[in-house]
Amino acid sequence: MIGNDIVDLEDPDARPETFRPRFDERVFDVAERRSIVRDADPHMRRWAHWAAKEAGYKLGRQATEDFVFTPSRLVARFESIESEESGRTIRKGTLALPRSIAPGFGHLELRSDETSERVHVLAAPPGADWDAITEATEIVSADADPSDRVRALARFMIARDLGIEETRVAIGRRGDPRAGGAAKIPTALIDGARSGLVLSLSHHGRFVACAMTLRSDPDAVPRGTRSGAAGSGAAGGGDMNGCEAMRRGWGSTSPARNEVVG
Amino acid sequence: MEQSEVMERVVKILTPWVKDEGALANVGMETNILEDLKVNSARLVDVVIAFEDDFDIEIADEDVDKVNTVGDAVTLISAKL
Repeated sequence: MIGNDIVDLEDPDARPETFRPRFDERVFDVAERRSIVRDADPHMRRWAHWAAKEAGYKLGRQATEDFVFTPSRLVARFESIESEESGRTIRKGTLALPRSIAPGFGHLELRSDETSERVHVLAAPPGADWDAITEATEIVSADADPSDRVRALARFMIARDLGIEETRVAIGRRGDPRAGGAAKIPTALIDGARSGLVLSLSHHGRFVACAMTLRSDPDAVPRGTRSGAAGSGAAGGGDMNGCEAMRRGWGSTSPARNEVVG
Repeated sequence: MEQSEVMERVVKILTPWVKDEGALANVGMETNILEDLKVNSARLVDVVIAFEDDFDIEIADEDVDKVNTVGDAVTLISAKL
C-alpha cells in the first residue's frame, strides 16, 4: 500500500487567506497548528501536513473502504530534514492514525519532497521498503487535463520500470462513487488484466504526481512481461513529451540518485 | 426549507471554487463535486465549513466522507435542517 499527494503552493486555491478561519482548526490538531505557525515557512508546512493526511487517506482506502477521512485525527509530524540540495528538501515524518479508523496501524511513515513551488508527500506502512517505491512529478500545461496526464505519467513509469511497451499498460480504478462504490482506487492493468502493482495518483494546480512500488506483489505481473526491468531507484530513460519528470529511489538519501527525465 | 432552495444555496457556495464552468452550467443533483466541478479536496473541507455557517448546522467528518455529488450535499443538509 502507498499513498501520495501533491500541492501546488502557488495555486490560487492554496492561498491561506481564501480559506475560512475555522479551516485550520477543523483540519489540523493542536500540535500541528503549533508546528505550522512556528515554522519558518508556514505556507509550506500547512500544505505538507495536509498532503500527509491525504496521502494517508489514500493508503487507508487501499486497505479498507471503511477508512474515513477525519483530517484532524490523522496527525502528521515531520521530524527531520533528510537531505537538502538544489532547492529541494526531503523530510521524514510520521502520520499517527487512531486505532478506531485504522486497526492494525499505529502510524504511517512519511517522506516529504519540498520545493518553493510544490510539496509532494508519500505515505507508506511502518517498516516499508522505501527503495521499492518510485515517484515522479510533472508540470502540466494549463490546457491539459490533469487526470489524463497523471494516468499517462503512471503508464510511462510502469512501462519503463517493467521494460514493456507503454501500449500494454492501462490505468483503471476499482470502485466508482457513481456506481455506488465508495472507493476510486487507481489500479494498473497490463494487457487488460489487473497487475497487482501498488499505485497512487495525485494532481493539484500545475502538478501531477505518481507513486508506486513494483515489489509488493511481483507475482501479480503476468509472466513474460519483464524484460530487463529497471526496478526502483535505477536510472531510467524515456521522454515525457518534453515535460519535466523527476524520479527518486526513496531508500537512498543521495541526491545523486535523483534524476530529471525528459 | 425546500430542497430546491437548499440546492440553490449549495451551488452558490460552491461556485467560486468550481474549475469547470461548463459543468457548473449544467449542474444537477448527480454532478460530482470533485470530479465534475473540479473543486479540490482541501477546498471541499472549506466548503463544508461554509455549509455549516450558512445553514447553521454541524457536519461530521464521517458525513463529509459520504458527500460525492451535489445531491449528496443537498440531502445531507436537508436532513439536518
